[in-house]
This record gives sequence, C-alpha cells and structure tokens, in this order.
Amino acid sequence: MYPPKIGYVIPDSVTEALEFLEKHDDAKPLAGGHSLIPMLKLRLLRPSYLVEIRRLQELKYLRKDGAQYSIGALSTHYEISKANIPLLSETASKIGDPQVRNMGTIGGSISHLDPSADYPAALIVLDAKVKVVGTKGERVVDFASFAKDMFTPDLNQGELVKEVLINDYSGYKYSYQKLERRAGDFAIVGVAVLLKVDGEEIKDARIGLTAVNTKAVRATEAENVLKDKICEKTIEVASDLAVKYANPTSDIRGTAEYKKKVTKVMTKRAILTALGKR
Amino acid sequence: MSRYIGKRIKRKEDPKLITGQGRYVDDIEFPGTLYLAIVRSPVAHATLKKVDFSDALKLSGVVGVITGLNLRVENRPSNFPMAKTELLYVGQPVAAVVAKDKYTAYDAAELVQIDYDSLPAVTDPEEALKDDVKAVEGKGNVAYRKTYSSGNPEKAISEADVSFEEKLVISRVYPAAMEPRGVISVYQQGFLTVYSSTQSPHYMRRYLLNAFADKVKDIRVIQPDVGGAFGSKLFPYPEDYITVYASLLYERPVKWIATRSEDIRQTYHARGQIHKVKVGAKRDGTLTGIIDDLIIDLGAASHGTYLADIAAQMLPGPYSIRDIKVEVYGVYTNKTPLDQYRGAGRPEATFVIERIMSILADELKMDEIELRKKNLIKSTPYVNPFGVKYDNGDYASLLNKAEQVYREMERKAEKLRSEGRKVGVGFSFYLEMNNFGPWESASVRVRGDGRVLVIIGAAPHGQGTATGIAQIVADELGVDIDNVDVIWGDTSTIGEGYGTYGSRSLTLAGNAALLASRKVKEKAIRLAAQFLKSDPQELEYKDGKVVNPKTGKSMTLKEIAAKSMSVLGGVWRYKEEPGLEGTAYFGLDNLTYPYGSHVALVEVDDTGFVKVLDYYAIDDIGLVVNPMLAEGQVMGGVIQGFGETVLEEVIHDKEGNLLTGTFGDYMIPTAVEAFNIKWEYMEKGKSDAPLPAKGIGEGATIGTPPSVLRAMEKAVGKRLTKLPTLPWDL
Ligand SMILES: Cc1cc2nc3c(=O)[nH]c(=O)nc-3n(C[C@H](O)[C@H](O)[C@H](O)COP(=O)(O)OP(=O)(O)OC[C@H]3O[C@@H](n4cnc5c(N)ncnc54)[C@H](O)[C@@H]3O)c2cc1C
Repeated sequence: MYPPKIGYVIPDSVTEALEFLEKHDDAKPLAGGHSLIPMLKLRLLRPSYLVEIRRLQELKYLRKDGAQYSIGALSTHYEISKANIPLLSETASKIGDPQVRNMGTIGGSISHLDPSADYPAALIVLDAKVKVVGTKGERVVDFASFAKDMFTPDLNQGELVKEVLINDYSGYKYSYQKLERRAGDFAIVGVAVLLKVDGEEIKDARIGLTAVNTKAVRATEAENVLKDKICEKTIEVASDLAVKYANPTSDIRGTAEYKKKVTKVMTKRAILTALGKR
Repeated sequence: MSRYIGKRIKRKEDPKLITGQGRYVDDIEFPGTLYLAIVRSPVAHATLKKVDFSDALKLSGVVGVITGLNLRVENRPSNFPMAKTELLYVGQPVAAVVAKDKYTAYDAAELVQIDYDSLPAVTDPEEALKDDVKAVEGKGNVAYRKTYSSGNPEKAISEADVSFEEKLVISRVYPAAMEPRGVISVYQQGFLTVYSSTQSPHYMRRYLLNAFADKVKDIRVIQPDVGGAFGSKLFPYPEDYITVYASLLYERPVKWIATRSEDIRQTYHARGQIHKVKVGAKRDGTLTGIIDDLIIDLGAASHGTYLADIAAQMLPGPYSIRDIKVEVYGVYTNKTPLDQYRGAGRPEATFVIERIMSILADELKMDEIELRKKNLIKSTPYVNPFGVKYDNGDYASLLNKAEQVYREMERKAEKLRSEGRKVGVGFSFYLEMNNFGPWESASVRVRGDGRVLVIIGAAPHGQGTATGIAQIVADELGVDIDNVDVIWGDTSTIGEGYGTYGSRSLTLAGNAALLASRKVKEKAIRLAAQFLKSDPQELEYKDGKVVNPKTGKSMTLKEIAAKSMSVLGGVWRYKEEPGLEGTAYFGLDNLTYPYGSHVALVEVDDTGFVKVLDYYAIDDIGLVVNPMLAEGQVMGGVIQGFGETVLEEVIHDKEGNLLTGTFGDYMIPTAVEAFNIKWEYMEKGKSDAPLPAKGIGEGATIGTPPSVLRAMEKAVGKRLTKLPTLPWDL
C-alpha cells in the first residue's frame, strides 16, 4: 500500500524536535521507520507530520559509565548486537532480519511496544530504566512501568525516549531463546534468562517472557524455584511454572495451547543454554 | 559431439538481472501516464447497493472513477471484472480510480464508499457442497461435476483383504512471485500496446481482443522482464481488463501495479483440494481399488476446474491399479478464484496416491518401497485407467536407484533415533505430465554481421530458457553461443505462440528453434552454392560452415551472411532469394511423462519444527540440455514444496476475511529454512521430439510434499493428512 499524505519535518536538534512535537498533536517521530512505515502503508496511522529524528547525533550513542550502559535511543539493533552487552546484545541479534536490524532502533522498538517485540523480555530481566525527555526536562522510569500495556508506552505527546539505562551484568549467565515461524519473523515466544551462579547454586534467577501476553512479563514463581542447587528437576519445574505467566491468544503463529507448550520448551532451552548445558 | 547441449552453461539472462538492469513493467514510463488504483470489496459476500465516488472526484488530480464494468469472459461470474450487483470475495475489484499519480489514486480510492447488504459467506468447500447457502450470484454451488471411472472399485474394495478411508486436505496457497502483477496499457489511435507482467503475451492479446473487439483495432502485448509467475500470470486478471478499458476510455497510457497485499488478495490462489479416499488392497500389497471424492474449492469463478481433471486423471500415478473411480465436485466459495500453480493438478494427484501408498504400507506393516515395486507399472507405453498414455521410461531402475539412497538415509535415521532424536525418512515416486501444448514457435535469423537472433513464442520469466535455447541453436548452427541472442515476449515479433507454462518451453520452443535452425542451414547451403558457384547437392553444412568436400572450398555462416549484404545500392544477381531466416512451429502428438523420486530425512524437534537433514531428488526428464538449469529448477521447486508442506496456507475466517493478507502472515520459506539438495538425473525416457527433452519446471513441487510429509509422519509416529502440517499439528 501507499501511505496517505504526510508532512515531513527535519529538525536540527532534539530541542527543535521536541518543540515541534509538542505543538503538533498528531505529529510522530520517525526513527528507523520499521514499525511506523508499515503502519503508514497499511493506513493504520495518519499523522499530520513525521518528525525525522533518525539523523540526530544527540541520540546516537552507546556508552558504558562505570557499571552502567547508556544506550542512546537511536542505537540500531545491529549496533546493540555488536556491543557485548550481556543478554541485550544477544537479544538484538535475534530481531527480524539484517535489514530490520540495520534500520530499527531500540528507542523505536520500546516506543512502539509490540507485544511480540524481543527487547522487552530482556529489558524487564535487566531491570532497565528509560530516560524520557520533553520540553520541560527529563525523567527516568523503570522499563517495567514504562511499558504500560501493548502499544502503550508511558510517553506524553511531545516526549521522546532519550536513552535506555541498564546495569552491567557481566558475570551473570544468560540466554535469549526465540521461536519464530520462519527466519525474520516476530517471536511465537521469546524467553530471556539471566542467572547468577555460584558454584553449583543459582543465587539469582530472572526469566522474562515476550509474545505470550499483552506485554513482557517476569515468571517470578519460576525464578524462585530456580534459586537453588542446579538440578534437572528444578529446571523442569521452573519451565513448567513459566507457563503460568503465558496467556497467549491463538493466531497465525500458533494456537494458544501450542504457545503455552512451547513457552515451557523455550524456557527450558534458555535456562540450559545459559548454564552451558545445551 | 555437441559443444553446448548437456553442459552446465551459465545463464545468459543473469548479468542483466543481478546488476539491476532488468526492466520490469513498473520501470516502464510514458509521458502523460495515468495511474489506476482499485477499490476492493471489504467483505466476502454481499449485495452491492451503491458505489458513491463523489468525494473521490473532488480530489485534485483525479481524472475519473470507473464503476460497474462488466464483461463477458468465459468461466467468470457476471460481476467481472468488477462487482456491479454482488460482492463475491474479499479483494474483488469494485471500482477503479484513475489519477495523475499513484498516491492521489490511492488517496481517492479510500474516499470511494461502498454501500452493501451483507450476505452469508460460503468458505468451507464441504459446506458449499451442501448447497444450503449460495456463494455466487444465486447459482448452485456445484459449478462442476464429473466422474472418472474404470473397472469396479466398489467390488474391489469390498473384497479386499485390507481397506482404509482417509480425508486428505491440500490447502490453498498463494503463488508468491517476487514481482507482483502489473500492467501498463498505451493507447495510440485505435491501437493499444499493453506491457504486462505475464507468462503469455499471445494469450493476453487474444483474451483482451475478445473482450474489446468493438473498441480497438489491434492489441500488441509486450512482456517486459517478469519476476516470476509460477503459473499465476498465465490468464488475464480483472485489473488487466480494467486498465485496458481505462486507457481506451481516456485515450491515454494507464498503469496499474499491484501492491503485495493486493497481489495476495487477487492473484488466483492455488491447490485447494480435498480428497476423501477409500482404498482396498491384497495382503501381499497389491493395490486393488480406489474411490476418491475430490472436492475442489474453486472460489468465486469456475476457471480452475481443469486442475481437478488433471488431478483425477493422474491419480493412478505410476501404479498398475485398474479399479478406480474419482468423483469430481467443483464448488463455488466466497474466496479469490482458484487457478494453476507450479504443478497444477499433478502435485495434488501425487500427494494423494503417494499418501495412499505410504499409509497402505503402514496398514500392512510392509516395507513401503517393496509395496511400490509390487504395484509399479512394468512396461511403457502404458495407458492408464482414465486413458492417459504414459509415454516411456524405466520406472523400475529409477526406483531402485532412489531405494539405495532411502536405505542409506534409514540407517542414518536409525542411528539418530537411538540418540533419542525424532527423525524420519520420507519417500515419494512421482509421475509427471507436461509439455502442455499444443505447439510453440521460433524464428532464427542470421544478421549481416553473423549474429544470430532467435525469437521464441514461449515466454520465459526466470527459468533460463533463453540459455537452453541458445545452446540448442549454437550447436545446430555450429556457432559460438555468445553470438546467439534469444528474445521473446512481444506479439509483434512472432506471429503466434503460447507462452511458458506446463514445463513446456525448452522442449516445444527448443524444438521449434532447432527446426528453424535447420531451415537456416538449408538456406545457407543454397546461398553458398550461388556464392561458390557450386551445385547445392555437392555442399554440406558442418561446424558452422558450408563446405564443398570435393573442392575443399568453404564459407562460414558469417561469411555467407556478410556476402548477402555486401552491395549497398547494387543489384541482386544470384538465383536464390536473399535472407538467412527460418521460422518453425513444433508440437507433440502426446504430452510427455517424466518421472522421479524424492527422499527426505527430517527431524522434528520438541516445538514441532521441521528441519530437513538430508534431501535427495532424482528425475528422468529425457535429454537434459543444461543440467545446471535443471538443477536450479529442482532446488527452487523443492524449497517451494517444502514451504507448501510446513509453512504456506491461505487462511480465511468463517466470514471469509483473509487472515494471511501480507508477507507478515503468509509465510514463505527464506534462505534460512532452505537446505542442501542432492540431485541426479537419468536420461532413459526420451521424448519423441527431434531434441528428445521433456521438462523439469514443475517436477520438484510435485515430488516434494509427499516425501517431506511422510518423513515428518515417521518422525512423530502419527498419521498426517494435511498440507501444510504446522508445528501445532504435530
Ligand atoms: C519485517 C520486519 C520484521 C521485524 N521483526 C521484528 C522482530 O523479530 N522482533 C522485534 O522486536 N521487532 C521486529 N520488527 C520491528 C522492528 O524491530 C522495529 O524497528 C522497531 O519495532 C521500531 O524501531 P524503529 O526505530 O524502526 O521505529 P519507528 O518505526 O521509526 O517508530 C516506531 C514508533 O516509535 C515512535 N518512536 C520512534 N523513536 C522514538 C523515540 N526515540 N521516542 C519516542 N517515540 C519514538 C515512532 O513515532 C513510532 O510510533 C520487525 C519489523 C519488520 C518491518
């Protein structure tokens, strides 16, 4: 399809972008365009203006300050995949296909909040924070509360995601396991696992699920069971418990029943892979 | 000794296409072109009350809106190419907006309002058969009914040692050509030139002339580069008629190009057959009777019935069953009409008969290769119970060859199973029917500089046929292949022709080119006789030269061509007509019947995903002109067949809404899902043609689904009866 008529604005700075966005109710920032353009073409969206933020260098950085990563909103999935950030880089490498990874940005992904997006599973597990900027200043919120519901980020008109902040979890073991119908597709289910292992014991366990709920969720009961001596039985029980957090709908990517079944399979794969047992 | 035939010659077509120099229909521009956008039915079935386009007309840049265009075209509903009184399926054209650019056209299309009263939609072909709710224009839903019958299968089945019944389902698929359809129609003083993404410009011309005979003197159809078709671009579509009509109406060039989502909605879907089979056999494995109720889901038009006929006629496959009956029911539904797709009826037949063989082997606890051997036709030619005459071949030795691969894969599978992996080996034997006729044409012209131009009536669109034909002509004329150019796809450069479909082009157009080359050789001899002052009887054509063995004098083809051209403004003093051209037409008096076997080793993991670990295909397609081209056809076809088996399905909900309307939902395999394929060929079953080729365009989409599904079935230990079988079915 072809998009409807749209005004196109190329601001010189974030401030200029913010001012324009604040004044125009139905203007939309354009980052990588890999969610926005498809929606325009299907005419699901009709913004008055697209405000191109894609080339604003101010939002294009990836830094490590002490034990914290600051990831500029315009970092592409590809750049993140190459940044050696525990769990997040692996997750980024499994998004879409090379074209999508070269164009799509983390700021765009979390502002769009597709319930099947990959990042959210990792971000809730990494206790990520989001820095939001508006004409009145900046605020920092937990990603878990930023992601209010599907397609509903905690963003007011005129605000932009500036960066994503996560602590360095080097020393943790991790894995992101994604099941997709065919290469380049969205997840049927995606499971992010982050484990702190001390000898034979798991001291900290975090499991995040995406695509099986209206937004990414932590499987807390499964996490609690895992915090124990590493053994096949607890892994099995934890994988079973993860299914409790899956509330999928039947669609082209599988029946609800199937998605629950593979939530277990993928959780187990993620735990075993994180532990180096697969 | 041939220099080119039988060799892996690289495709002449490729450099252009892979450097972005291909010219597709959307690349063609004319000054003053208008753009057309189609307004489509949003619902599967309704009474159309009113189409209000007053708002659309107000938009600046809109030239006009066309509604209610109905033309009489055989096997199409009255509401064709546009709905006028009844909406028949989601995506059916209802109106066309013509504007100065495509964005305006699409903006205006959105302003057209369709006022309708919903009617109940018929989506399930088995429900359609009951005829309670009518799908199309109040007509009975059973659009087509035919019985193919031989012997007494009822008796054979009742007296059988073992018998079973099964319902086999072959879903609808979308022939996903890389290039969506498109057309540009250029009006000039009563004549039209139509550029179309088609696989048969000559068909297109005939169809369009039939419809618009009173409005146009002649229509020249040009096929630019075409990015694939798989059968789906053989017949004209509603949009072709509408665009042509618009260019006649406005006397301007008019262009229409499908977006992908439009293409998925209106390109004729394919397959869509249900087979309810009853089968009987003896304890020793002899198949004794088959009764098949075949229901084909035609959608909202009846032009796809021949696909059921082919499926029925080929249902016996390569097996010597005589008591067999196929009851064909073609039903209307409120879906996109159905038509051909790579294989067209033979994949359906092969799927059914090969499923029967595998299931029967399970029922009898018998080795499935032994079972096939027991039933395999012993000698050819052979007339099957429905009168189809299989030409020739050595089915048994091909089966034996494939069996060895099968046993080897079984050993491998056994080992993997012992490691706890869910693997299985699938086997299929297929018998193909191709070279759909009736004939094809070719002209061979030697230019003054010796370059050879070959014009064929076939209309290849990705197959590499031009390379194969250049090989044939270069060998026959004894010239370098780089001096041979093959062109096609323009109704004004060759009088009549058919196109590329049904695995026919290399055999039919190739033989026409061969015969035309021979005419050129004869002509070369007669001209050389003049130039060399010899008697033509004394001359012979050898290795690109006309030679007089007695005198040792000779002239190359190039020299003869040059000499014919030498005196500008002079006189022609030779006693032979100038010119080195030959045109020939070639047809076969029977279709050809290649055959082959596919063997697959697959693994199914705990998510129900299928991975092909090993794949082998063997074909006997007669003479193989270019093994690399043939192998390419097999590879593409296997991956396509794999897609049909595990991924691809056009899905409508109960109301007839299309749920798979984009490539985000309609899943075709990517390079990641692809796998290595080992391919071999035999050249025992040669055709009767001077160049005894058959055809390989469709073989792999026929052989693949039954072998992959069988492998999956053995991996999971559960009977599988549907294409595709999805992870959640396993
Ligand atoms: C074929 C295909 C396959 C895909 N597969 C996957 C997949 O497997 N997994 C996955 O997770 N995603 C997938 N995606 C989505 C992809 O990751 C998108 O790139 C991403 O969701 C959006 O990022 P973007 O930079 O392209 O954002 P845009 O498309 O430019 O914007 C998306 C939305 O966010 C807003 N926005 C953008 N940047 C900001 C900002 N800094 N602050 C505030 N609002 C902003 C826009 O206004 C818009 O509403 C796929 C997309 C395609 C086309």
